[in-house]
Amino acid sequence: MPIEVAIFIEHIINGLTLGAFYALVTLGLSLIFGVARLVNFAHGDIFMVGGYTLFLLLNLSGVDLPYPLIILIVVVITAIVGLLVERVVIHPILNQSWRVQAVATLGISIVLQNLALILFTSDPKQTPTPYSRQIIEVMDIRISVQRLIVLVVVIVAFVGLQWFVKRTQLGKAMRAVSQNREMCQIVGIDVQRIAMLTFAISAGLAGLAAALMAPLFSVTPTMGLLITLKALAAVILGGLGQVNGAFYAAFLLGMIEALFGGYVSYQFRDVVSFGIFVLILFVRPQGLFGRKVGL
Amino acid sequence: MRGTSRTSIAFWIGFVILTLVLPQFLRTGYLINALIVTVTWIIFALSFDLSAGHVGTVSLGHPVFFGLGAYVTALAAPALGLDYVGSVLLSMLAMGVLAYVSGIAFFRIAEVTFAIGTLGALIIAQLLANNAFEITGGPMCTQGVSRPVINLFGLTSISVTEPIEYYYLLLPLLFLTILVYRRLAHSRIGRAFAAVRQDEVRALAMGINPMRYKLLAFAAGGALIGALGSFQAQYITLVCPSELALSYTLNLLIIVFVGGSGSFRGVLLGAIIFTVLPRILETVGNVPPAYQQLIYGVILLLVIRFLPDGLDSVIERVLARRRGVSREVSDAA
Repeated sequence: MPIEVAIFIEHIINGLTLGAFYALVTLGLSLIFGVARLVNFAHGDIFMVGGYTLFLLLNLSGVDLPYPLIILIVVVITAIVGLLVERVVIHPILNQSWRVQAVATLGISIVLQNLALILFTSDPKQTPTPYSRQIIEVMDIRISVQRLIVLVVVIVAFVGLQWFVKRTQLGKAMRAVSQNREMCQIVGIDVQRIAMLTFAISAGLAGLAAALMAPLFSVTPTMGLLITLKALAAVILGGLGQVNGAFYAAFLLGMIEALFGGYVSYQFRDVVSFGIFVLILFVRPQGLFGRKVGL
Repeated sequence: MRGTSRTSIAFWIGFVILTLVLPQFLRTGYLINALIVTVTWIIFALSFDLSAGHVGTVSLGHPVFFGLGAYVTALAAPALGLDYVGSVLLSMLAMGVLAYVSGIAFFRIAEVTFAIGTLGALIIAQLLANNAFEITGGPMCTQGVSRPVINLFGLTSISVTEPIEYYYLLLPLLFLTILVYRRLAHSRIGRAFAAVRQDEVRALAMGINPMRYKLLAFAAGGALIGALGSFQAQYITLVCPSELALSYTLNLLIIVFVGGSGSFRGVLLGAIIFTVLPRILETVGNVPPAYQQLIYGVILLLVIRFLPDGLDSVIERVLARRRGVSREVSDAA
């Protein structure tokens, strides 16, 4: 196979893994927006918490945990963090204006970032798994095993989430709350419990993304911001509240980033993906896949 | 606090005198620098509050006007041969126009989407400043910005080097900001701002064009912050991409929302607290920056939770009670 083609395919695979990663983070954001009508500016910081949890688990002295178990623990811990955040900060302000909510979630972001800075300093932490340096080569195409794991797990997680939301009692309740909150209270759905569950799932998904993706780059206290913004970009591009639209938009962003970074300019790849996002915001404020809704 | 009552005239005369004589009591450069930082944040936060507190459009991108205002002065003013006043006016004009034009685009999107879009714009601006080495110097910063020189009618010129001189250079901008803030907030325009903040559709029905007032507040704030950026560039003689950082936005949110958004007294209070408190924590408590930031974050969350209208609402309540008492007394007499 000509080397150009192999490189092109590698970029495509990188774009897919990036997209899958953004999709995971984005899913959590749009679930919360759907159920609580709240944009969580601290979502990327929960991802960061997941990254440091992974770092701690990989460096536990004396114990060598298998990677799947590590992933599970990271998911559980971030879900608990999400639950705490919901109980302590979000729940009391659920009926406040979007301004108060935005400031409050940014407040959470300040707290989490500086806690991480105090506990781990600003030095980037590496979190290599046994798979992140393993590379398989098929017909001149070189892919790290970690990326393949990301792809597979994200697809499984997405299918699982779809099943959960469509088929289970709790999932149906979540959809009901996102459609009409008052009506749910009338028919006796415990809206509070659903909100808590949604935050836990959302944070757990961010944790899963961290456990999978952090081994491919390093973990820093301030990494959450760019992740939040990428996920927000995908959520907006997909149309606020459109979970599936956001999922596709995440892949689109990942692909743009990988191809632009690979062929045009690595430095300016984020400028371009955010630039496209802001431009589309002006042209189609309702998102690429969203329906137009009133104010 | 209407503009014409006798007590308020006395208050403003006192305020102006205080700001004029205050540095005379501060002997060290450290303290005068601290005062300059406080005044800087008062200007920054009041300009931000015009949009965030009064019109209700919380932009997360305001540092763009600060950072780009600084870059305009650092990069364009020397080429045009401008003195201090000229360079401040240039940055002010450039950022006012930028705010107006970007506002036309950004105000097409509503509420939280607007906040997200402006956050995106801020990150783009910072990434550009960081990566456009040839123009900005990237992370190495634009260095050696010349210190302020004021030309007096082409006859003679004054150059500014001492902290106390810088302070007096900054004061006019403080007065201008307060004037603009008060003129806009406490007038017919201010009531239109409030109408837009509370309910855009209703404001429209009352014949108030929301776009017009959003743009007015945004452009006025942008221009003032641009001028502030110009001063900052000539004060620290250095412009870095970090002037466009989200941390500035977070500081603004802490100052405005802890102090009390949409209130002159609240914003003033917030700006003073969050520029004096760090000095105290630093020098007396020896608290490292990350712990300080953590404390501010927790304060922000507590205030949002228990005092949604900020510390100013407490002052307001105390004053209202005293006013109530004095009214009762006069009624009895």
